[in-house]
Amino acid sequence: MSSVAALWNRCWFTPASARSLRATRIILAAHALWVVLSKPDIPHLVSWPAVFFDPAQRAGYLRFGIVRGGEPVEWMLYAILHVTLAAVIAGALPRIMCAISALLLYHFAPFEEVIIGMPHTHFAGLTVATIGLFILAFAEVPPANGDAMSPEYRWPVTLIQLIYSFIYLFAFLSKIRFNGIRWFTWTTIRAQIAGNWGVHPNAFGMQVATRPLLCWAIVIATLLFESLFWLCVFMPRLRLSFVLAAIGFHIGILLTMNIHFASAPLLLLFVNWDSLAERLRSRRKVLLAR
Amino acid sequence: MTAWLIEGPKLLAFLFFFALGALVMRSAGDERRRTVSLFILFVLGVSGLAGVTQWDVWPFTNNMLATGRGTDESHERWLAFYGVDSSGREWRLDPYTWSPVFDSVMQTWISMRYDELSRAQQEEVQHFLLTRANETREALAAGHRIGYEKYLDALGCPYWWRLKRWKDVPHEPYRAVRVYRMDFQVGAMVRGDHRVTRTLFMECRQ
Repeated sequence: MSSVAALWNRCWFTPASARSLRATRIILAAHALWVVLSKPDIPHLVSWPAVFFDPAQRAGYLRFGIVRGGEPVEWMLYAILHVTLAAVIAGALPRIMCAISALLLYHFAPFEEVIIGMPHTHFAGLTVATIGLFILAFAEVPPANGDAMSPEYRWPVTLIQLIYSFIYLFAFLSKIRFNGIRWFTWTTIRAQIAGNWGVHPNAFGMQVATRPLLCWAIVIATLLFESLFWLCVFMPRLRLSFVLAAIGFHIGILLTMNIHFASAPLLLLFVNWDSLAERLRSRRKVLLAR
Repeated sequence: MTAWLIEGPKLLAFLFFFALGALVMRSAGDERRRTVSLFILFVLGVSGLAGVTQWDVWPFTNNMLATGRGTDESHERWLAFYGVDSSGREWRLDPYTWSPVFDSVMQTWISMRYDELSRAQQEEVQHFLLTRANETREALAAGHRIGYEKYLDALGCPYWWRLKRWKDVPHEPYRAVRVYRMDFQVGAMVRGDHRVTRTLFMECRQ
């Protein structure tokens, strides 16, 4: 076997536990349900006047099955989405429920921004769940209990983690694509923060924006974090550092720019659930022995 | 037709993802690992293409974020929505007034499309904005929660941009909605000059 094939197999097919796959399924569905419950008016969009829907973008709407009118049908489908996501969390008919949930997310997630061409749909919290639940629908269904090991439980989890990590890697590439490495200078951070002031004044953010050294530190940390986070998918020893860095990154952005990252709870995908379960089991044994 | 030239390949990418996934579901034995590998390669390929070219194929997305590179000389422009009561007092509208569309999405839509519309279409938009502003006013006046707070209250997931909330509303319907252009310079803001130039862009009346 060539070294490339061996590396490929090690990355994607090293046996993993059924628990990790079940945990991934529950995290994705619970997070999606939280986001969906937080967007209660989504189906209402199809009743908006036709003038809001640019006829030139009709193909884009149809790609997601979005058609004006038929609001009662949309409400029914939206209710079904809540039920199927709850079923995924409960582990009921996981393959079918994951598939239905993913299809409905594919339909509904673009609603919020479809009238302006979906510039930030990826940032609204349902992108990883949409692809992830499809992947889980296609993958082998793990047993409802126990920690059986199989290569079949590795690749779906790794693929979903990698898709999550693309959020950071591609955000880095987008900066390079449109501005080159020059984006990573302190004045960019200053302008990003100050640009929000006229809309939502943020005194803490402005304190940061007026300190060049702090802005330099932020921009260098952003460069390293966004470009390297994906490594922790394949190097579990790096996970704790990168996940803590991600939490700090999102808190910093929230405090300085008022930008909230809806997908942040999906960092739970990087928790080693086997190790956690083992620790809990050991602790329980110690407590029972006392 | 041109739109389908753009959207068609995107739809095909999604359908191919779906078809490969179905193959993964049905595969077994020696073929299985090869099929799964092909599926993984496809997902990485389409996602990678979106990331490198920044061509969005949602849900295989480019994750484009904060690409702007402003300087102190950069000018910023936003739109701000206000309701007007019978005494002429202006009330800033809550950013969830247009839910399911967020304030900034409505701003972008107006900036992109409003000027291109016919007079009749502009009137239709104005009528819609005033009606929606009053529906939201009624809900807030009655103490109902709106937007992401409707079911989950403070535990809900807000829109990604956390704009200031404006929940104070008059006890009478708005007579008009005004949309202002807000202009300012980044460098001035940093130097402590927080002046924002406000220019009336549109007024929606009954």
